[in-house]
Amino acid sequence: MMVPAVLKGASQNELATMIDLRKCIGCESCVYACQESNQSKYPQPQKPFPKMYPEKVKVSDWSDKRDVTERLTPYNWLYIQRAQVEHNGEMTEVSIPRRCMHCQNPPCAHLCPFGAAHKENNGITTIDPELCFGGAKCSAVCPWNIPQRQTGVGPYLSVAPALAGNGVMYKCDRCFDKISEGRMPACIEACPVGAQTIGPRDEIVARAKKMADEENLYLYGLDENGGTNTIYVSAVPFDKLNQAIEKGPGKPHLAKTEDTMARTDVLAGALLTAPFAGAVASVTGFYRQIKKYFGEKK
Amino acid sequence: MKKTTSIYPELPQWYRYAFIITTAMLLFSGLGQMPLYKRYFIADVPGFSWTGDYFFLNHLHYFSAALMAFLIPVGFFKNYFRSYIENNESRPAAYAFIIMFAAFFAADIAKIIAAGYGAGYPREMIFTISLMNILLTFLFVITVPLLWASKKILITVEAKEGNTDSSGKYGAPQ
Repeated sequence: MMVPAVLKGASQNELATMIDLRKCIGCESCVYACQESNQSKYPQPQKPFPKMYPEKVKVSDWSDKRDVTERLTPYNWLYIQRAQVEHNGEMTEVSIPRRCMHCQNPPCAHLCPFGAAHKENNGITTIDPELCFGGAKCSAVCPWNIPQRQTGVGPYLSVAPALAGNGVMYKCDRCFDKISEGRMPACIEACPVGAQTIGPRDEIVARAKKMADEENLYLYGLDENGGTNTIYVSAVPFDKLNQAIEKGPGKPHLAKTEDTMARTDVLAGALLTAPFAGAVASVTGFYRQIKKYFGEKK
Repeated sequence: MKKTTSIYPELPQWYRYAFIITTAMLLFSGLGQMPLYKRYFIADVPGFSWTGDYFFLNHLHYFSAALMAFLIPVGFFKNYFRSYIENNESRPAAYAFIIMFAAFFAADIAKIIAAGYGAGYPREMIFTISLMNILLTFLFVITVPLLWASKKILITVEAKEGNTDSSGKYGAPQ
């Protein structure tokens, strides 16, 4: 399936996906399509792993558990979260495909010390396995703790494996390579019920809002963490879903999320204006000094 | 007229303290951008749990960078440039100091812009800027104490007639 030219990687428009939870039947076609499509990107760790110091540093090894599909792992970038909730007097089972939300202002990309996590023009945030040291900072600052680590792979092995780094972080890259070729991400292509759609963010947001208004639905991802490029649409409120889902490592929540980068943005603004403020303050002071100096000379 | 003076720029006491504290904050929070403090037990030290909070360290880094961005032009214009105009003194250490610090700081700002707001920038560029940032930090850490020590190095400069060393600390007119 081909996508319009506007969806290609070269596009300046941010792409967003809309996941209609009313349609999702939880068949996991998307999960297996993701695994098949991204096989070549999965880690091939070297064993035995180098000893790491101090000893409290834990090995994260999923290489023998590649078939795990009930949570996010370095070998499973998309999984189906399930919730049984009562809504409007009826028990409903909701299946929720979970993966990276591709935030508009991603803290993982902002705070990665080496720029390994990076947001592209088209709104996709990817992690470069050739630059990532596996410090897991991206996972710690992600409101949903999405990136997952695999030890024994990546550039840390050739620097100081005992003292710094611990592998590479992995997460959904929204099949950026397929998109750059004008193709659909594997999960969208494989969905038998068309639960997921992709398009320019403004169009997707407009469509999601219209659906929510007309059909009394709930949205998640629109404002979370300052805005994401994954919008969930549900007939059940998300706070109910959040209470019903299993949460924990590799199993993200569905709670309301503040903009984690808001304060940083304010401080970045202050940082960019500070040199001018300093220059103005000192030129004013300098002018006074010069005036005083020449006044004394006279 | 010749006089003896330090190659170190004359800076008022408040400026030196502000500079030292801000530099320490920048370096500490900058190192904390790599997940070192959690790994190496610093965050486990009572009273230092904040070193394991990446957002706090990030805010501290930006805040101290903003302070430094204010202090650099103040130091340059108010203390160095004025000293040059008024006393006709040339202080090589001050040039080195300002050029090196400006490079260090430009790399810092470039990193912030490129990593945070540079969607679509080549990843190699961001990595190179990040690396430069780290290397310049180490260079800075090594050079500042040397420059500080250079306070003791005295040079003879041509000064305008009637002018004396304004600090009065490093020698009188000859």
